Amino acid sequence: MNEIDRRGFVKGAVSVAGGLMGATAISPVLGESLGRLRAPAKVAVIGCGRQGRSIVAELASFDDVSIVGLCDTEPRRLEAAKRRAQGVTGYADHRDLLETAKPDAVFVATPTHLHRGVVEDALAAGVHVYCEAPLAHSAEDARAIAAAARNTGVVFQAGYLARSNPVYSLARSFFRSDAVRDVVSMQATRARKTSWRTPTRDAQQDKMLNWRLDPDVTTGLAGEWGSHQFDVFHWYTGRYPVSVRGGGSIRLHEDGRSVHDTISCSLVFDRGEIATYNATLANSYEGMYELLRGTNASIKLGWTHGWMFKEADAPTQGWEVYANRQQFHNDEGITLIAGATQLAEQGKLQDGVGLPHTPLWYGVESFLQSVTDGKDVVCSADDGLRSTIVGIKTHEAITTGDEVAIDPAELG
Amino acid sequence: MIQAVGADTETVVLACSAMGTRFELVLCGDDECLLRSAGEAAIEEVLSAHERLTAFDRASVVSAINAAAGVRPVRVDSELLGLFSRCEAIRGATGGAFDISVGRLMETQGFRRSPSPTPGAAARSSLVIDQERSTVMLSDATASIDLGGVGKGFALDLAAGVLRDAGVTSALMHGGTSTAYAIGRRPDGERWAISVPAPEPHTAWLRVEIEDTAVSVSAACDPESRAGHILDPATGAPVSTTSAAVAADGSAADADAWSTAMAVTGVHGSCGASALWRGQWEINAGQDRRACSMRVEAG
Repeated sequence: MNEIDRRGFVKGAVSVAGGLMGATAISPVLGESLGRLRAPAKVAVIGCGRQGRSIVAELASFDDVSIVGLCDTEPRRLEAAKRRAQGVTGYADHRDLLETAKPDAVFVATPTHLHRGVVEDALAAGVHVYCEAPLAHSAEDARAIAAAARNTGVVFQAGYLARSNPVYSLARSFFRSDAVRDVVSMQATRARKTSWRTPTRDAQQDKMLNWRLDPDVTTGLAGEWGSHQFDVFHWYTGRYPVSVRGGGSIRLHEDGRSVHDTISCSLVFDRGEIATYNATLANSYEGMYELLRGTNASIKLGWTHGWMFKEADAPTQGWEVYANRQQFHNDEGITLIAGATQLAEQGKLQDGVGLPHTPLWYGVESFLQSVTDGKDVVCSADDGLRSTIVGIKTHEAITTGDEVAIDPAELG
Repeated sequence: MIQAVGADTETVVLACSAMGTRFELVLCGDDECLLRSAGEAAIEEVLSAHERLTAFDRASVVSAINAAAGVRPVRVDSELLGLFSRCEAIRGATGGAFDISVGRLMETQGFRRSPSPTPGAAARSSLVIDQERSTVMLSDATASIDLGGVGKGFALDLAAGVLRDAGVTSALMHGGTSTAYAIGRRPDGERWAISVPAPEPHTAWLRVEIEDTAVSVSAACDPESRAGHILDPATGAPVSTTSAAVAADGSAADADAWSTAMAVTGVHGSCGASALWRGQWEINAGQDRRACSMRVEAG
């Protein structure tokens, strides 16, 4: 087997000054079974909707990766993905892809309720798996995926992207230090004016393509969007809510759907902290962010950027003297920059604002590093399971109007 | 520069901000729900193109290529490789009047902020494309890519593909009113009509009727301020003439690129304006020769 030159494999890796990656250690048995793949690593993407095509585009930027197959049951989506990866064979059935293309690793980006079958088949074939998040639409499927991932000798990564994001890692190191101190509250928002509907005139296809609006299989905004941001809370605090409550309604898209286009919910933690979450398909203001308030400072995270807002009576650290700052109305935020110390020494601190790659790129990179270099997985199947279940429970609370308890035993 | 006229049927109108401007989609049909979802999918393509091509976001592909200028090639996906290859082909066909590697030159000329035209060194094309490895590289460490002359057209092409796949047969889209793309005809059976104002303010100049075609207009100078915003790669200086260039093509990216090139070189047509099109056309000049119309059909 030829060793992969890691510097040639990873393009433009970002160094994190003092940031903790927070990776979950893999078991010694799993570690022994991991070996270095021969270059180029053969990968495939199963599910060629918007996220699958984004994964294809990101994979194209890695030097030692070869896309050996694309799979989708819908021919037009498959063709759209193949335009980004010319010459790659397309498959309508993932089992044909696994058997014929024989990838080393697959990225599973099918509709959420279809993840389980694909993941189980891939793991059984000895293929490393990156599974988009949430892991599944039901707790049963999510637990089955996690169980399958635990019992194999291959890498499994859940696609919760905060855990591979350098800005989020840096911010987490501040959160866990005295800089933020005690948690006051947490909140997250995701707002995007869109119908969430895929166009089709075919009634049969409509059910398949518009699964997010199918009450039988969707976990709604709370599961599909919210669980990604709940995972930030979980990763930062190391804890999970003990109950969730919320509500929703249709504010704009009165097209016959029953799935709410606007939701608001509260996740209650065991020490009394409350994380509030608002999501809407009816308005785009503020986009997507998380805000964690502490008694010494608040941290605001916007997926490619992060800021820390110090309380006036909080102690000042020496590094703050050269920190980049940004004004938000009446508040001044310290811009969180990965590799800030080195950049400041070079007089290039301003150049470091924002990430040089997309959050998805970092997720793909970390997975590939786990596959080829044996690096710890940033978001394990169990971590993915827990955040998925919180999303499912929150969706249940919103649709029923009941406060739903979350037993720690349910989180595995 | 382009004002759509005559689109007064029942429609779904969607818009987004991208590439420093506003994109609008006017979609006509019998299923409002389908039109809206198709339009949203088209807008996703525009926004995706913006994210990949903008030079103002560190995470974009163009920023990665610019950051690696003179150092190493950057792998890109097939769709972008096709765009860069097409740009190189048009650069050759226009004798260098269209060149995407003039980004750094545009910055030094103040095109990114207030204009401060100072003649600079001519641009030297340094784009190196490796089809086999799917890589793009700027061999000149001082060069950078600017896709302002083709990006909107590229985004509209992608959007049009999505709309057609969704079964939309009547639509008009534009990016920043300078590049427009029409799918089919208006519901009343007429072609989509675009009017191109003359360089002199408030004077209708050229009426273009299109069907399954893109049209792009590039003006070397802003009619109001006379400030130049197109760079001549050959001289390194802003183009200062008051002419406007109109290009029509089945590809919005090509129309965009060609109109940019013609704004630099000038290709005189019967209205005292630059015009380039492919396919069948006819031009009718008004009596005062200050207004004419051009009907363009897909070639």
